[in-house]
Amino acid sequence: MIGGLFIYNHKGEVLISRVYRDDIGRNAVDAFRVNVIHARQQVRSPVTNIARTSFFHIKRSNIWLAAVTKQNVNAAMVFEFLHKMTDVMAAYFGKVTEENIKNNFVLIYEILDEILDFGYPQNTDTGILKTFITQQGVKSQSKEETSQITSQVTGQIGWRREGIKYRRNELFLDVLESVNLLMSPQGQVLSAHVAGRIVMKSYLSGMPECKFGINDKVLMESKGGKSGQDDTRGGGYVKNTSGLYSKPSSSTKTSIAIDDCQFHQCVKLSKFETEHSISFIPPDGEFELMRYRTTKDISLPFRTIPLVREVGRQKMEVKVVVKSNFKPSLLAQKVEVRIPTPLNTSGVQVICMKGKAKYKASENAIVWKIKRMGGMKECQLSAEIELLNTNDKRKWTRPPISMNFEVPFAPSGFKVRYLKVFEPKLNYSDHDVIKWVRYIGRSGLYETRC
Amino acid sequence: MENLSIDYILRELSSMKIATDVPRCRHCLSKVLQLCSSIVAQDLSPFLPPVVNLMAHSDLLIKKSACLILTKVSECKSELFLLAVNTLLKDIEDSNPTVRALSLHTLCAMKHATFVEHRYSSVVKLLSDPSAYVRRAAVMSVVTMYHDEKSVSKDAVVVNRLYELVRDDDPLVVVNCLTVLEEILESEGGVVLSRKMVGYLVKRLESFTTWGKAYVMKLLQKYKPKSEEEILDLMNVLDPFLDNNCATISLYTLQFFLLLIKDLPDFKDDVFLRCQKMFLGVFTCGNSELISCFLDYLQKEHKPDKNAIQKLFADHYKVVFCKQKEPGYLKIQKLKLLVELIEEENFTAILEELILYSSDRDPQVSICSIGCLKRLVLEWPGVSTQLLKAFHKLLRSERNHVVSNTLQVLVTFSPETLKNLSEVSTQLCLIAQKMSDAEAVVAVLYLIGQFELDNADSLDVIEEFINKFSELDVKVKTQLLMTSFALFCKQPAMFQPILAEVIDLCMHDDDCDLVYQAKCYFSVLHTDAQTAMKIFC
Repeated sequence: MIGGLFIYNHKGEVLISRVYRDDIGRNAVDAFRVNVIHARQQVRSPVTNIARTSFFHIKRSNIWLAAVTKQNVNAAMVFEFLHKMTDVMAAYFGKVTEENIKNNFVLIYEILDEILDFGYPQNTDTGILKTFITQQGVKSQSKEETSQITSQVTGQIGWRREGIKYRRNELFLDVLESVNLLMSPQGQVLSAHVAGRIVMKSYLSGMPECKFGINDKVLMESKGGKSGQDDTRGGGYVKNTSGLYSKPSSSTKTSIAIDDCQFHQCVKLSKFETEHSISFIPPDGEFELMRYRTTKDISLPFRTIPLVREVGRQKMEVKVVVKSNFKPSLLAQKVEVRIPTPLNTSGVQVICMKGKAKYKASENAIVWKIKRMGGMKECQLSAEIELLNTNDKRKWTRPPISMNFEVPFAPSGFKVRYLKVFEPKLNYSDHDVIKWVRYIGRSGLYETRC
Repeated sequence: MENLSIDYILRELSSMKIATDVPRCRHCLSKVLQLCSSIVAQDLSPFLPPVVNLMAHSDLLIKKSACLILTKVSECKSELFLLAVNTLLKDIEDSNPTVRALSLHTLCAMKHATFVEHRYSSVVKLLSDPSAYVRRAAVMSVVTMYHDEKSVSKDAVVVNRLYELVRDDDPLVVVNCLTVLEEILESEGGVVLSRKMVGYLVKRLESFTTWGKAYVMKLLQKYKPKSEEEILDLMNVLDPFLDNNCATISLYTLQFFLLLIKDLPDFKDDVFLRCQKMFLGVFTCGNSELISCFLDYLQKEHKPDKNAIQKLFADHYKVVFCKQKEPGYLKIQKLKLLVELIEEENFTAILEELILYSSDRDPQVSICSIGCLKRLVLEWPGVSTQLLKAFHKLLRSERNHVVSNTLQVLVTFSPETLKNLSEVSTQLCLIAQKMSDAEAVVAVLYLIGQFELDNADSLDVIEEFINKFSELDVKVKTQLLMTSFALFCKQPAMFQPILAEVIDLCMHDDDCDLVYQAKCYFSVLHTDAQTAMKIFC
């Protein structure tokens, strides 16, 4: 098959040379240059025969790609292969230009190693190649936005290849939220916001159209509170501002007000603007569908109530109560409370019934770790801090108490109403798709002043 | 860090710390690789010691680069090779399949004796490796070995294992095995294709990669089915591949089908019809080289099947129209196809296109296009008016090469045809003065000689040429001579002095051929005027 592959720039200088078979010598490189690139006449044919060696070349912008062979090989296949090779390179680092080739030298050699073994084309699928190739492409500044816009305008789908098949059609939705809070010592929320991402892992056959429904306020109001199907597992109690707990009834569903959101390239924005529906053809595998931010009606998973008492100049008494504010059946994981201590601390005595608390002198904090905590529970920690004598007249400004945790629900109140899958060409319907949703709410900067 | 000298890189690579500083190491190795591919043959043997050391590095990219450099520098002799062999043999047992495959490749790529003695056992071992990636590499390494030692093809262990691997789960392993077996068993006619094997391959065809499918399809072309039923079965199963996304696969399938139905000509039309969509798809794809290949195939393989091709493209002839940016060779091939497709309905459209291409910038395309017009004149006598207009238009073109090409083509017409195009003659004198291209002038002069022109004009033209006689090209002079004779024979009184002058100039010319010709013609005229008239008119 292909004995060697050479890439030249417009001057005829060799940028890449890879010889796969012994019958191609160094003079082949020069022969092509002299006879084709620097020839006086115009190019007569993409196939050139010099001394029993056939040279197949394609020219892209000002780069020549030549495949050389001494055997009898089908020209159409070689050209398709060269074409595909330029596609692969373009997928890694944008347009095939001299600059890009020079910047991605090693990557190209890796690619050539993988796609041509001893001159026989192997696998040229970009997705699979990425598993074998260690390098990332280095793109030079080029017009990438225009290509994105073109694809949106023309409807070309560049993020999903045709002919994907799975025996089990399933999809996994991860709603990952990060809740950030700043609370005053009196228990008033000074600022709070939730930054969320929806990550979807789809293993669906063909080119399915997906429609994603959420409890977005705008949508709910426009539809007059009509409810869609609820595929999710587990609703939650939602705390309203007056502190009373109410269970959502089947007719009124709570909705969240999304401040702003960003979508993945595959989402049809035109549909979002007109009907406010999120419609897309997902890329295969994992991708981030959307990002959003909310600031209103956040259900804070934990409430920290600190109590600090200074006893003279030598001692400080600290009592911290942590209340969990969610359904009792749910469990928060990896809960950690950090209580900062003054710099002149000599020793700390800590008592807590739940979890483990340790004083870390290097960090000037008491770190209280609770492995698991259920909802609607209260935990308490009391500590006696001994202080060294210090002449420092300055009062210690108490840094806030910070918390880290992970909860299995979305603190913003975000709910996935439905995710419908339509694939008209293949014979599986929305009901055949196995759907999984999970909510993971993590703490961002979660602080209570004391 | 752009222009690093060899010494600098060498120092960097030899330093102790380089192994820990991974990015810098990678960068240095990439610089060495760049040096390897430069035009001037560099002596890279001083790099060998640090490179061999780096082969044992744990970072995959450094390993890959080091192995690649090692293969490029393999012409040198060195004891370091022993160290390299040991590293590679250790890596063959590594837990990471990428590393195993890489070391096997490198081991087999080296020609030095130290490597050769180990490679057979390593290859045989890795042919049974649990990882598919490694098996693929092992299969391809068999070919590398074969090219060095032909005896591998006789080795039963390897060949049997390869046949076993054709039944492997991984599609790439299967295809690789087939290619390797084809190559090493070439003397025996390649892989043995039994009916069972063919059935198995056809079943698994879907799961192969594009290149795999193309290759297997080509391989299947060797197979000769025994019964008509089997042929029909095969055709039914492989039918979807006639219209595949990948044009090469469709082409191979088409070839296979045509081989199968050699004795069943009725199916040919159907088969071509099935491929129609694929052919049209090829023409609209952007890959001009591929289109060129397909056109070539159509021209060569199907000279006798003109009807079939015409039916294929009849309604879709627009697809064959050339685009501005296409390379010259492709336009010429398309033109040749276009001419085949002409029918009553599309005549005007295609004619317009041809006229357009005749004024193309590229002289090759233009002349080919005008040649096509000529074909039309000969094949479609009924539509000469349109063609005439076309020629008129072309002769009035501003582009010199277009006019010159038109003239050259007009010259090739027989005198009877030319009589039909007599209106062209009015422009000839004007053109004669305009042209500087020797061939064009020759053509004009010839045409002037052929037509019955307005005498004053032709007289002027000839006189002009006589004035410029010494600057003229030899061909032009010869033609001038002939034209003068022709005109004289038509109108003796008028052209007698002109002829005398021309003959005189020719006889005193430097070129002996011309002198001889002039003398010869004159003597003919002198001896027998009547015969001369017949010859020259």
